[in-house]
Amino acid sequence: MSSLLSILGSSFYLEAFGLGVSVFALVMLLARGRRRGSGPMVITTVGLLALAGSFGMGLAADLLDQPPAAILDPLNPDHSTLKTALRFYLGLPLFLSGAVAAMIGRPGGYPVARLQARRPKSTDAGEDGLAGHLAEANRDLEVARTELRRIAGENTRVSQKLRETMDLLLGSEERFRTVFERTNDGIALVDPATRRVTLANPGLANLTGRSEAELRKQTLAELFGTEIGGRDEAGFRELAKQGRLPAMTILRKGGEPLRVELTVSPIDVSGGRSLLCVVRDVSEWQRLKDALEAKNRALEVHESDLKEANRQLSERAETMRGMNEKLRELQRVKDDFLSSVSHELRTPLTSIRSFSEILLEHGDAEEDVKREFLGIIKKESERLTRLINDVLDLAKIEAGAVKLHLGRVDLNAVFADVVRLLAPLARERNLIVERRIDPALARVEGDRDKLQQVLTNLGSNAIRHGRPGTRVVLAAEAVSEEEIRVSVHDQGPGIPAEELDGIFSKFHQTGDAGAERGGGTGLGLAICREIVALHGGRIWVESRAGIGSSFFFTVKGLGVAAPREETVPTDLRFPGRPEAKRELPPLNVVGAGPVRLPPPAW
Amino acid sequence: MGATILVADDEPFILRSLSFVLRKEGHEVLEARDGAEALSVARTGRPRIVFLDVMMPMLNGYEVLERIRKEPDLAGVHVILLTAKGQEADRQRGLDSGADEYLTKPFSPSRITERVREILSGESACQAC
Repeated sequence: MSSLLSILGSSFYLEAFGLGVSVFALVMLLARGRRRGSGPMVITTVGLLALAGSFGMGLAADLLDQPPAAILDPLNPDHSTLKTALRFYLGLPLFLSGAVAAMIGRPGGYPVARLQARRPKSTDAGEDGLAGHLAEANRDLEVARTELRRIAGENTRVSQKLRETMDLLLGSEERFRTVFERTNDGIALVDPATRRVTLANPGLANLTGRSEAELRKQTLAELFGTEIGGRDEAGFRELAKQGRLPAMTILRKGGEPLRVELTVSPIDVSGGRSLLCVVRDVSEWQRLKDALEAKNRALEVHESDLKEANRQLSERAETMRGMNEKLRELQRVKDDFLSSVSHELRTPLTSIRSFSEILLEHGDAEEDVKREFLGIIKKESERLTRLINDVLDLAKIEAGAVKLHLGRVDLNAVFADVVRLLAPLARERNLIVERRIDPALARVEGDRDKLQQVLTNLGSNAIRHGRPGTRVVLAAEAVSEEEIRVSVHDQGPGIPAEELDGIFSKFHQTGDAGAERGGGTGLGLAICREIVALHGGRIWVESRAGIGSSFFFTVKGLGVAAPREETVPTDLRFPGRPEAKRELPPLNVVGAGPVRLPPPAW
Repeated sequence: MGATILVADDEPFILRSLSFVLRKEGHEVLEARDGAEALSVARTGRPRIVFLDVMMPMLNGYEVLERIRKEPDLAGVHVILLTAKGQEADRQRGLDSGADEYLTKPFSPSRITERVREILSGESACQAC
């Protein structure tokens, strides 16, 4: 046994082989700093094993021949110098280097590089150099161990993190799946190339009334119409840019329309491009919106109604203000009227009271004085009666209580009656009253009594204002087939221009000092105006100072022929006294344009 | 005993009745039928008492009264306004114009003569006219 080991251990060839492999291994180790791969590791390992084997066997052979202390002593003369030198100065360092490299060798190879970097550039030959190398190798070993521990710890943390991330991923996927499946919104993934639905959620199935399987066979155009579904890639990008599209109507499976809002966005799913379509049922929202809009419109209508009502109210307020103003004016007129009536009633009453008292207290007065006073009392009583009648007449007309008894009226007869009625007054005032009327044409429509009242009133005014010895003319002429103009002309002093306007108002008194006083009530012309207005006619006055006044009124004619034209005679006779001839001042009738009057009819 | 009294009224019958009763009492009566005449007669006739109708042509009673009050020669003349307008505003206006008294128509002639006697005998103005 010992001899076999000795033969092996001292075999020079074996030693030489081990040395060669070791050198090769060292070269390869140095090269590993720059190269990757497992080849060098295998070679190194084999080399080292071989070296270790030869060294171990050599050492074992020596141990059998010599005591250990002698073997370990480098100065032992018994040593085969070459063998020992090789073992201690070459084999051991190589062995250590190879062992370290084998222990810490890794693909990156950086610890080796680090070791190489740390290795002194030059090594001193000798024992100090070897001890330094050993110490350094030990430190490196320690560093390598620490590094290994660190790496092991890191690996644990990484795998922990990996586990956590996996958990998170699994949880989040579940969450998203729950949202995807539970949401009321319809969600579909569409392949942009085929435009077919690749994934649809229950929400979409619910909205469209189709099963998810059915949906997966649908194209985008079938779902949302050609306007959306018929687009190409660019069209979808355009759609996506718009984000939420205006509300649209799709058809559910049964053909039932559904108002939806669609959002389309291209997304990348597992490496491929897809269109994400989100469909939201907005029918309820639409219904509310429609209702709101309808309500809005109703409100607008209401508002405009309100504005109109407001406008009408302001208008009415304006009207009311106007009416109020008018009422105030009426009140004032009424007050004036009452005041005037009071005045007009009190005046004749004063005379009646005074003279009756005088007659009672002065019974001894002369007979003619008594007669004069009684005459005054009678006259003033009559005046009072007339006044009361006129006031009542006017009040009745103004209250609308007077109804005309319309009929066919022969103006000839009316004129004759009026002349007869006025004759006493005319005689008293020494005036002539003329009638100028064509008997053939004077048929009018009206209330005979009322027309006679107007004519009598105008006639008596004319007589009272006419100068004694002049004429008063009552005339009627046709101005058209349907209109007869009746006029009363006097030859009095005329009416001042400033009084013409107010002459038809109540209790208007002219400043005509020459007129016969006490005859009028101040209401005659007002009553005339009302009666003519009731007949639908007009009444007016024309006057010239020093020549006279003409009062006109129109009344509806009935079947009148064109008036005959005759000149007005300048000499006239008093009615009822044909034998008496008397010169009268020429009749200059006041009126607009030439007034052609029919010849006088006595 | 008799005084000069001016009676101004555009109503001839009222003029007649007032003149009659006042003349019966022995007064000298001046008559005027409108405001302007009343003023001129007052200036020339220097009446002690003036009966002045309010509603007269030319100048109304108030205007005549205001002018009378401005005339130094007519100072102290006793003016009685006669009016057929019996409303309080008219009465107030009359008194504001400087009237001594305000008489509403219809009046009693005997009351008129009685007032004239009182005025002439220096008694104070009647409060109940």
